[in-house]
Amino acid sequence: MVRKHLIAISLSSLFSATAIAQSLQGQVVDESGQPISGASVQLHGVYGTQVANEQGQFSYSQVREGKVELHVSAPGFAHKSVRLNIPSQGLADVRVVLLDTSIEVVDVTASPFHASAIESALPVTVLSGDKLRNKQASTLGDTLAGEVGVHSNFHGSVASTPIIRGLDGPRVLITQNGLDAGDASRVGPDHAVSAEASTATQIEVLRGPATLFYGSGAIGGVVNVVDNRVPTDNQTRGEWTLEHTSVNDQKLAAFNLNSGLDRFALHLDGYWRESDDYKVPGPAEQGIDDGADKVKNSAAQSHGFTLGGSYLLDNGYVGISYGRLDREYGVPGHSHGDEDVAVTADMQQDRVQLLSELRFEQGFISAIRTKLSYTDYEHAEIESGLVGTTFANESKEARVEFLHNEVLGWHGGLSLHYKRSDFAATGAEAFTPPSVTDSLALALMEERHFGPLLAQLGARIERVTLKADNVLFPEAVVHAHGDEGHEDLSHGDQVIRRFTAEHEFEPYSLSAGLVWDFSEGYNLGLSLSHSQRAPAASELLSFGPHIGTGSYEVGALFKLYQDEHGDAYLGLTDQAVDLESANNLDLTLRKFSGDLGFILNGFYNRVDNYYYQQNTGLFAESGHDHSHDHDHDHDHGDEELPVYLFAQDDVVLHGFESQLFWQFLSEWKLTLQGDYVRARLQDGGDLPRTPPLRLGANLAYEGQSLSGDLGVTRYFNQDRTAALESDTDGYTLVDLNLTYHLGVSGHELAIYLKGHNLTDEEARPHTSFLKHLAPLPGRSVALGIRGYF
Amino acid sequence: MILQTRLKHLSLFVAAAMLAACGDATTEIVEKEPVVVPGDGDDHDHGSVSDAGRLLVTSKGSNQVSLYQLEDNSLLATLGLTNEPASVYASPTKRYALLVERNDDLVELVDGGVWQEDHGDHLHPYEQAPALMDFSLYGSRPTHVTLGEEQIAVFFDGDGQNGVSASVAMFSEAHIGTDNEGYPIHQFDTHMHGAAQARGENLFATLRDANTTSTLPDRIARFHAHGDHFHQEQTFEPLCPALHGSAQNHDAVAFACADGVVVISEDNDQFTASKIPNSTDFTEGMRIGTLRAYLEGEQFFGIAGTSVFVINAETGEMEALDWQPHDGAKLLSFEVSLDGETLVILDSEGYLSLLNAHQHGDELHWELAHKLDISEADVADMPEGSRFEMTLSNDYVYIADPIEKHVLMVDLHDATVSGELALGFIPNKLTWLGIVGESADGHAH
Repeated sequence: MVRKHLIAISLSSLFSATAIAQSLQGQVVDESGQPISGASVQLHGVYGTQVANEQGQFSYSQVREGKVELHVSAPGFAHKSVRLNIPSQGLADVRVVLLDTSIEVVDVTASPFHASAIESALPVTVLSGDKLRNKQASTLGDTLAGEVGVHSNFHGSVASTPIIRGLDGPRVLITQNGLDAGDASRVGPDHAVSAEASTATQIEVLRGPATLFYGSGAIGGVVNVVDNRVPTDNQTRGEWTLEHTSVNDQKLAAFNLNSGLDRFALHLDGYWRESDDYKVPGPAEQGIDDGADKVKNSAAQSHGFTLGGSYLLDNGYVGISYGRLDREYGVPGHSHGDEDVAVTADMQQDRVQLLSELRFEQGFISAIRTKLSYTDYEHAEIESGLVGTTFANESKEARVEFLHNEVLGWHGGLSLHYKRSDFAATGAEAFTPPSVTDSLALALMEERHFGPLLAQLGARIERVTLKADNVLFPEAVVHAHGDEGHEDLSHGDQVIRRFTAEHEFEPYSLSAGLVWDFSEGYNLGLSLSHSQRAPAASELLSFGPHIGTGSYEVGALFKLYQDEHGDAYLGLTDQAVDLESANNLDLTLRKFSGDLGFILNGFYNRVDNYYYQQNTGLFAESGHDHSHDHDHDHDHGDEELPVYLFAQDDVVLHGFESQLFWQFLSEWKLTLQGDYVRARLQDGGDLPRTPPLRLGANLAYEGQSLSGDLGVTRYFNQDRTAALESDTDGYTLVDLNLTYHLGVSGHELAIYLKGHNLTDEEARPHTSFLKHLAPLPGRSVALGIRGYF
Repeated sequence: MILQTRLKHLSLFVAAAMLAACGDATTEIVEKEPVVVPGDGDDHDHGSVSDAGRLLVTSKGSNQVSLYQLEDNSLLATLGLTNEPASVYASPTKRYALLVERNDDLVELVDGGVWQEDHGDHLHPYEQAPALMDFSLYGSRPTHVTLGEEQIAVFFDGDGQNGVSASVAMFSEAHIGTDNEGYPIHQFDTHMHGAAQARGENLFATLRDANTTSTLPDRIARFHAHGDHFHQEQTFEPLCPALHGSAQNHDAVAFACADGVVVISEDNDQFTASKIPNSTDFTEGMRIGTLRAYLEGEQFFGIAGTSVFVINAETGEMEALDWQPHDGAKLLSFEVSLDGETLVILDSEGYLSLLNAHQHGDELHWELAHKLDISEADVADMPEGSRFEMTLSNDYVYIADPIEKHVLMVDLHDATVSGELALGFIPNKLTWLGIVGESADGHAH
């Protein structure tokens, strides 16, 4: 009923749009008064973007009377929001002055507000255009590994997810066009993210709690992979890439095509990538020189396509897309003792998305954005040709945002969000029982300008239910070493206790942000938030071997007890299963105009009831032998794995991110950046796999037909380690990109060379579960050609 | 926060609740009956090997087969075959599944992982993870697979277009497990859509005159196994035009012909064949194309389109079986229950007919006892190229429903739907694997 009502409102506002319309005309200029042609002008409440003509002029013939807001942007200039009061006779001579900037500014699509690296209270990073193409790797984490505040949990180059400010896994949400990626990558570091960079148009990173827009799973940040799968215009344009990379003999082919006719728009993209095991500078396994110069079983093959179509309206669009992704990859480091059993993962995903945006000038509602998706994901871990474990995730998501026209100076809207994930893991390493998670949320976000001050407020309430009807508790599998009394257990019957578990959580989030333009070309951003997260099924219900992490994982539903002899044992927990709550303070100082710009950011994030894996000192059999019915019985006996229990504790994460941009000549730019995070338990001790201090310098040249950049990044050593974690040495990576652009009859070609790790340095990321087994690839040169039309 | 603990003999209930409007977290845990996984037998406790067995289901358009543990309907394993199987059969003891990849000239085998061994004084049950076997059969167009008491016969039709002749292989479960080689194979001199029945050391197989145009054979011969090959011992006199369908029971082997059924029986090592002509109930063009039998029984069941005939080999009589199909219902599948006491018929309208045996003097008579609607879906929604399929365990009929993408379980004894197994894919063929009869430690239902 509510929906019907809203549709009725929207229709009436559609038809009354011209009732009290006035005209608005203006010009976009730079600081010296020169017109900026090609500037994008957006009028709040009006769908689409106007491009300023050669004189920098723009004009709207129908604008409602009263207060309106313009958002103006152009490459090389800082974005600007202009608030105007349209009188009854209209407005004709609006002059918008844009400030030069050395900072690349791209708007985040993921937010209902205009947000970019220089405009938001919360720090954001956007990778797009050539920068994205230069950085794109076969996995998402590796693509983003160079961004400030973001590291990769590098997993032998076959899988990786971004670590944002020391947080990853279920705390960093990976989305695709704003909708959950719907894969199993949050559950294990060896599970690839099902979003593809080579066909994406931009990748957005929101650093810090973004639960307001995305829900509980975004307490540490969000990575949003944006593509044009649901096209918003019918312009014919395309892009294609062919590339070969030396270090792993990787071949990549990708294309993007948009076209359309009249009111119909079409999109098609696809990619194909195949690579062999990658070369490393020294032995793959630390301290064991077996003569091999490659990381075994790190080959991968993947391909995918997306097909989408939209119906374009004057005030928006409605579109639907279907995407398919197939990926087969080796899982390096998945060996047992002296035996080398190649484990491969075979993943596939089908995804349907329906996206729509409708804008209305009149009436209370200014825009309705609808996003629906259905994702069917499955990935199988195959050992010796047999499917060992299958992970399946069927997810459905719906989000509708209602934005309103200005009320008492406030812009904003309401977001209604539903998500359901039906997750199942079956087989030998199914450490998490099948579960269904439902979440329903309502969020309100508002912003208002008070002179030079922009205030942003938000609140969200959510209900998350998690149901699992077959939680297994094989008590006897877990034991202490030297525990003689239990030795005979493996011969008798094993009793596995079973439970049904139902959890209901009601996390809420509150946030307040300020952006203060205290002087022209400068601003100060402050963000305060309180956000809560419901634990994921794997953090609560796990009980089983997880070969990807080399541990036996036990969820927070269980607890470590001591018997009368002082021996430790596991039992059901007698404590409440709590929400994780984060209180985050973020302070950002920016200078964005002129040849020298900087963004300095400091953050302090205190997370109470933080779920983390604690070593129990107990051991369990992996239940993983290799006697697959061969004639000769080669049962190597079960491998013993250390038991890690999800415990809750209060932790503090704080650190800084800094970027300095210096355009010292019109074609030359120097960028310096650094980031650091300290992640510690409140009561002492450090969290594992925390990224080390990192400093980098990048010198870029942007000529008429030649462009390039040389980057040097120093990763310092990490000696703040968790219990049973080892220190990691620092390393320096040198990268070089060169691109030669040439135009061939309306078709733009770019021939490029990408060099990574040119000094062939042995680099073992502290953030990787496989740091002992799989260092970063050695010296690598990629040669490619890209075309645009 | 309230914390409650209440203990019942097997049910532990834990509830924790925080009483706040927001930031609320509640947890409810209910303990269920535990699962007992048998140890490796050093203490000679057989543990509990589930009587329920396992279900192998193939997926339409896929080379993946899924195996479910029927005790709790959990997915045990998904195995990848080389190709998509066209049909599935279970081995005589129901330990192995034979997956016939007809178009790809391959038969692969899967060990269901549940079996029992005769340890002299007792039957020892085993349970292990399902696995794809190293043993497989190659040959042109494998089609009909038939089972004797211990032997399996796989008939390869050959390929007339490419001049590949038909062949037949006979082997036992011992060959599948350990003794992979040395089973007999016979190469025919022409291709045919043939059939064979393995019976001890004898194999009854069809012959086709290479000069005829039909791919259906018209003669039956007896072969005797000698190591890795056969000797053709005898060709039976009665012609069997357009032969299609065969079966064997306690007394005889039967082949279906366009004009009747040829029955071969043994008397003091002498095999004689006779033909039972189609009865007067047969209309023009009607014929028996499929034969079924209970291995320990005395009857054959001939399926002619939607009609079923009960064939008494001894008296040479054919009698129509009244299974009362609904209008338009096509007979999809006909099976005799593993105890031989029930006939199970699945039809295209989504009905399962159960016919029970009644002893009349020396003869068994069958009467329709139950007719169950096993699909709530509109059968018109059946995906192209799919149909309902069924398989039988000791106590249940499992029906794969491609519309609903699930397997329905019907209790054979009380004729009720007793559960369903959601698949998440469109099922194609399925077979039950497990221990026939009650397993050694059996806890009967």
